[in-house]
Amino acid sequence: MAKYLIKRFLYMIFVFFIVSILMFAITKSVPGDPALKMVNQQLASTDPARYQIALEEARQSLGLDQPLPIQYVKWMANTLSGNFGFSLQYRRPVIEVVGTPMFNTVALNLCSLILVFAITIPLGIISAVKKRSAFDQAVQVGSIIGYSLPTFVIALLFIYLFALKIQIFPISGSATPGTDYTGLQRVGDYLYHMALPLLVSTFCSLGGILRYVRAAMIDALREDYIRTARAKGLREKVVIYSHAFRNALIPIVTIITSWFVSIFGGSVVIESIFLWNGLGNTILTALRNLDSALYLAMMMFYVIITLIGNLLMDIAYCIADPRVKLQ
Amino acid sequence: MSKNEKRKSSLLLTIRRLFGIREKETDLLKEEQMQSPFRTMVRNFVTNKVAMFGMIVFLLIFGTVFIGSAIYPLDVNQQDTTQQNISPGFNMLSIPSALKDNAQDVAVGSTFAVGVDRDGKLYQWGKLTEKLQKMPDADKTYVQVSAGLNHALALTDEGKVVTWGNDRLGLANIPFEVKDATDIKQIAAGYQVSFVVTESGDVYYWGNPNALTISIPEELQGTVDKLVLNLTTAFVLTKDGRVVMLSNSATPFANIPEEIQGTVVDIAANDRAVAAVTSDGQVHVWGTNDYGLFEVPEAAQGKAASISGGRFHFTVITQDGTVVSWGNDLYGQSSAPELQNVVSTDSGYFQSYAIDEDGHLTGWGLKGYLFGTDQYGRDVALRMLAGGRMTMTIGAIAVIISTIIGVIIGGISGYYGGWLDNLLMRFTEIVMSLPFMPLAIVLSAIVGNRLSEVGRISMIMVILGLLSWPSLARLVRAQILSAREQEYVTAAKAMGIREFTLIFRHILPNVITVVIVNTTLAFASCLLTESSLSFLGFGVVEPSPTWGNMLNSAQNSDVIADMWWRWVFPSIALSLAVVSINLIGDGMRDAIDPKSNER
Amino acid sequence: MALLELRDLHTFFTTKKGIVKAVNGVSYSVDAGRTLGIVGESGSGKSVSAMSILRLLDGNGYIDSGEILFEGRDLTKATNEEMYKIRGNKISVIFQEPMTSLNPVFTVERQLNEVFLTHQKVSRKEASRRSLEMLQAVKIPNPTNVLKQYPHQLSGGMRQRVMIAMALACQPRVLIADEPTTALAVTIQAQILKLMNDLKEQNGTSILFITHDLGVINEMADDVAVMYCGQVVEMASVETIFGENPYSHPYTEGLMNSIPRLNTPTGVRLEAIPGAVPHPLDLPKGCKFAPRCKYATSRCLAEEPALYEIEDGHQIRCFYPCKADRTRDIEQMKEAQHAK
Repeated sequence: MAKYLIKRFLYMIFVFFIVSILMFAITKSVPGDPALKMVNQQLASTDPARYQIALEEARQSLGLDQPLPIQYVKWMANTLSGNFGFSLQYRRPVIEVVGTPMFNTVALNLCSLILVFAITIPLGIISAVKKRSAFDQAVQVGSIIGYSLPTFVIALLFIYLFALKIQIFPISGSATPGTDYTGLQRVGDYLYHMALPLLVSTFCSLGGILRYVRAAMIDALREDYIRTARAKGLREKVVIYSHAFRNALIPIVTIITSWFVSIFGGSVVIESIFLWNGLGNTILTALRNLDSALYLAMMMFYVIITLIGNLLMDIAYCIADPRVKLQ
Repeated sequence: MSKNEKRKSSLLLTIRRLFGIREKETDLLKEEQMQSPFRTMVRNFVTNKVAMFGMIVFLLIFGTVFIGSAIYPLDVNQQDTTQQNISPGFNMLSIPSALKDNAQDVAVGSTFAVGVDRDGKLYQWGKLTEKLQKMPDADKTYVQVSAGLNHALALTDEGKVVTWGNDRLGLANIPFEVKDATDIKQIAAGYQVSFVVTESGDVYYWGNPNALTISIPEELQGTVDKLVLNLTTAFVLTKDGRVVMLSNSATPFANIPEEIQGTVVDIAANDRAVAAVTSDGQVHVWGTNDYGLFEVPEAAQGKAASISGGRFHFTVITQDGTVVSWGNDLYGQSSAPELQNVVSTDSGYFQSYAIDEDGHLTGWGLKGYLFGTDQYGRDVALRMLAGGRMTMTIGAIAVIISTIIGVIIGGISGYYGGWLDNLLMRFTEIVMSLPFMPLAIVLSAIVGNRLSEVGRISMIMVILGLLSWPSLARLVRAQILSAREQEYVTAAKAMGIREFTLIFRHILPNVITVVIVNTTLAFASCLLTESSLSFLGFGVVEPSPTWGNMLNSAQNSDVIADMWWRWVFPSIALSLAVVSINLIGDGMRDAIDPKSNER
Repeated sequence: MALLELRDLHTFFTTKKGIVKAVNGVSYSVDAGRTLGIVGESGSGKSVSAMSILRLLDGNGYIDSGEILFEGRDLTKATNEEMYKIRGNKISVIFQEPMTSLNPVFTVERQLNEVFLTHQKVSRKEASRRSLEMLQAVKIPNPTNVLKQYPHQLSGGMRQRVMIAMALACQPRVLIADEPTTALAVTIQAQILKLMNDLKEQNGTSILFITHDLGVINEMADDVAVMYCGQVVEMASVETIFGENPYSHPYTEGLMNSIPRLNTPTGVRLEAIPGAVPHPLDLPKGCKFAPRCKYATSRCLAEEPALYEIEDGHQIRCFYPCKADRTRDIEQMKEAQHAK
């Protein structure tokens, strides 16, 4: 296990570097000179000579005068030492900018994850056990529609229903403007603003996961050992929730992590609609403002999340299934 | 049986065999045993009601979108400020029945019309804003009406002017001169302005001073006979038959032909040209020659009595009382019906109405929009057709790209194995560990900025294709590996069957089914991804429509709450398409995998 | 009185294409301490009849009619609660596939303990102790280690021993062995069969032994029921079936002729029963075996024979049960054809 983890970790680092080179190359191909944003543009007309000097200085400070490979190495060295560069848009170091969005995104997605599993697992199990019943059919139809509907369509619908027609949730943002809550009140306000994006995010994931849980459960229930368990005189509840579900968990675990990684990426849409100050929204504004240091850092963060997610998936898979030996 | 016939029948037999048509219908159970797996699959699929439902829905959407957009091509740059945010429905020409045979005057507004009957009662119909719905006093008797973009005017028999509808920008502030006047001859409502012409030949106007940059020369007051206006300017016809433009701009509108001055009996303006009828019945048009506005139909030339203008068309009443329309005919507004004894017409925006001697009111032109219009006055239904075609084309090409890459990489990997397999699979893993959505957004934002529209659209296809192949490659590889280990393949190998045959006869059929199912499901997810990108503004951008970017402008609460048609219809189309494709994909998967039948 | 008795049992399955009558009027009984062997091809309903006893049919299967009497009680009318107390406790099962019949994610110990914890009021510790005892009883080498292992770490024979240990944990009255050795290598088969016989002797358990292997039946069973298409076609003691006997069902005769024997003269070819088992949705009208029976007459094709006692303790479902008569008839027919 330890050996596997080390190997896997080295591989992750390898992938990380490959992707970082790729991302760096893409970023560098962006038209536009970021140094321009650092220099007072009025200088260009009033004092062209000083403007040129200032521009050169800005370029130098950003390291733009050096060849690309050296720029990459410098950037990477900085990134690895925790210096993610300087956000031109916020005029602050990137590391200071991304703290809040990161927290917001993780909070939203983690809550969504918990909600989704709290709903899909029991529902999927019941649906699998009562296979082909009216309940099951309804769940099936519901889930196929649920996982086909685009996130933004559901978001618009939910805004219409729960923020405009029945005004129970705020439309967007992550805090009531103009208030200065502290303590519990602030947490409450935060959660209140999170409710609608959370609902949408959860609703969008329900269908896919539900189908998966149901299918995994049906497969597990069909196995020979379930018959053995019944023949032993175990009660149906024990057979379903202990024997069958424990086996169904194996494929479910595989999907959880890859899905978790994908909702991190997918929450861009939700964050953008609800103006939720998360990573997705930050990356969008960074892109709109050509704030390369910022979106490069964000991309690398997404890559790390994906890689760690994959590693976690392997480990979880190994824990769930005693037959699997990692090598 | 002759030799020829025999050959024919054997050929027929071969063909029938080829398509699996059997001579005799063997009984149910034997047939099942004899069927090829492919045929079983097809039959499983066809008998799956849900999947077939999905198939029908998808084909309907597909057909509507592709055939529809071919029949009704979209001019992506076409916009119309007068037709913004109109709700769906076809009631713009729904004349109230009480007015229909008893009309005295009628006026066309941007999306509505106002009429007054011979008893002086007011009517209005079409798309009415909330403010328009508050009609003036019903007790009074009205004699004349006029309608503008979103407000209307009416004249009572006591010579009083009333206004309703939009009351901002000073439209509600009727000047004292007008309030006091008793000899009002003509009222005219335009784009955020209202005009009044008195019997004594004076002109008064009020409303938004910036809407029309006009000035009325002092010497003109007291000579005006009639006033007409369009969205940019206004013209007057003086009592001595001259035409005067009320603004000093160098637009083509200013090219009033000198030779007609003094002989003009009626004028009309639309937003491209101005037309004047001279006393000899000739129609003179100047301005910009769009929509064939300068080509006055023969039926009207020399016989014209009076004229009225819409947004891009003119309508003439001839001396024998018939009507002739020409100009833009997008909504049929230039296809005047055959009418007799017409005494007055009013054309405005995209409709025309004519009233005959007996008070019969007839209207033609734009009835309304099936799915309403958006913030630029563009027809949502038309954009949905073109947008659907765009969305589906992008999805299909992206899927084709990803399928080709996936099959090639998975196939090589699975078939050759060894270090090549190892390398390719590591590569696949790297692509898989790229965060899909953020990367697609970044790529689209960075690369797309420098591309033309077509380039951008192709780039989106390529991005989607390049990022979505890994799962298929893995599936194909796994399928080939498992097929290679199947007993029948081992047996075939042992029997000395050539490798080529082995691949095509034994391995390929297994892979193809997986590829088809995967491609179908991937198509659905490509539609979703493209729509999400376009929705965020990082995919296909305006003015080219896709179902995703049509919703881009719906990200504000006013649109969501009050202009539901702008997001509901594209949402429904997109959702229906994706659901139906997923149903098809699911059905195919069930048809292939007998185990899943039990699910 | 028989310990377990099936009376005219009908077990059906609903499928998309119609109702499959998997067990169509089966009656047999197992006496205390004896072994009843049930032989038949796959699809003959032998396993289904056994699963009906425990009411462990797949989702679409149900007992249509008939009685299953166990210790004088009708199990078809027992409540679920009662069934829980019978399964694994008074009647237990060993399945054919030792590879898949154990839950792969639980240790052997946990799966064995479960039986004790469910049916006996014992502590976890006591359950573990008894589990160890059971593993010793089924002669598993190194039982303390095996307890901690997962099924995939054990060989097929070992897993089947674990299954047997699990089945016999509560010293059941009846053990249903559903082709317990089919999936095992021949040497392991012999060991497992011996183990089962030994444990049967020790505990006085009755065994319902289901197999398609006549050799195994000969070794294990006291009585034999031959099943075909959901019906018992012949039932007798093992001596009657395998010994020299003037009466037999043609199907049994076919089965007998298809197995090689030490005393089969060289040069004589083994006889196979022609044709295949009919599709369960498309059963022949008369005798179910008639289409494959070389002695079949027009009567066999039109009319279905009933099961009747031809001699004491020997039941046959055939119009022509006497071997000698049938053979003579067929030879006469051949001669007649020859004469033509």
